[in-house]
Amino acid sequence: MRSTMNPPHEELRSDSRRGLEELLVLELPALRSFVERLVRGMRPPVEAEDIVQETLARALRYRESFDPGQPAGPWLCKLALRLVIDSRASQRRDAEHRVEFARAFGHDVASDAAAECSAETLARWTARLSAVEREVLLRFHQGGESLREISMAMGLPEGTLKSHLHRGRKKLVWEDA
Amino acid sequence: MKALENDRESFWEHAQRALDERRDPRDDPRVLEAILEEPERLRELEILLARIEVLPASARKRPVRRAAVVLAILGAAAALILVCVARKEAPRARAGQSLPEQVVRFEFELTNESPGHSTRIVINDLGSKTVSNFSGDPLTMAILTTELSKPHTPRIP
Repeated sequence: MRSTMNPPHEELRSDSRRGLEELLVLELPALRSFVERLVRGMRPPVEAEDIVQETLARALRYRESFDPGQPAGPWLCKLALRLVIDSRASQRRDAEHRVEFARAFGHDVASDAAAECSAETLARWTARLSAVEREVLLRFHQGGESLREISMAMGLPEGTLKSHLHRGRKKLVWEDA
Repeated sequence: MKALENDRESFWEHAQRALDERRDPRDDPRVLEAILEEPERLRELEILLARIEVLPASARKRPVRRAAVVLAILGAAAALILVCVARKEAPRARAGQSLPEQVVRFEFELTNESPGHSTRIVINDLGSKTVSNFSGDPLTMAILTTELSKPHTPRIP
């Protein structure tokens, strides 16, 4: 005769499931606040609530990766952050494909990032850079040259060039970041 | 306050190191830790990566200026042809008559500078050359120099 009672391990699983779900409800406001701060001002925009819902869905799907001995908040935030980063990568890939597709048909289109920049905006960013910083940034990121190659070409020590490179990058995010 | 500044420095230090090693900072565990502490940092990082991506495009993409350069070259080429034709059809001097002025040398120089890059094109009666290098402030400048022969009266042989 079959028992109507659940075996002990089934009860345990059921309890832990209920436990995680309760934790998710408790952590929801903090998670929502974290995600809103994470995606604020992003272009193209990312819908915070979509990320929150997907995070909760993933938390339930990958519940095995949750350590009940640890607080749920940081674990959820990590899941949300990974989701946002993946979602942004997917947006970038889509945009690149659109640009490639348009160019294949002879349309000269700029990438999303380039299209967002007016000539004035670009001039404002680049005006912050010294001639050396600009040259190092372009050579390193556009030309794909190593610091050693740039050092040989410009006749400056690698350490100095690295400082210029780092300072140049910081200047690019000043003010409006 | 000091601790926040140190956190921020540490975040940028790790992000810069990843970029130096041509890795995506968004895959760096320490960068991610810093973003978990201060979520707005992800946007700062994205701004930097987008601007780095756009910077080269801004150096290359100058359609209006490119058109100006093409026009200038065409103009200089037309001037060169005119000079050659004028030389060929120049009237021969007769005894006691003076010759009109002629172009004996010309040089057309176009300098097109933009942030991070500059191009200098020189076209003269000896040929043409192009020089490109990196420099400072935006500037577009064209200079046409011509040298004329002085009217003279040929001597009677």
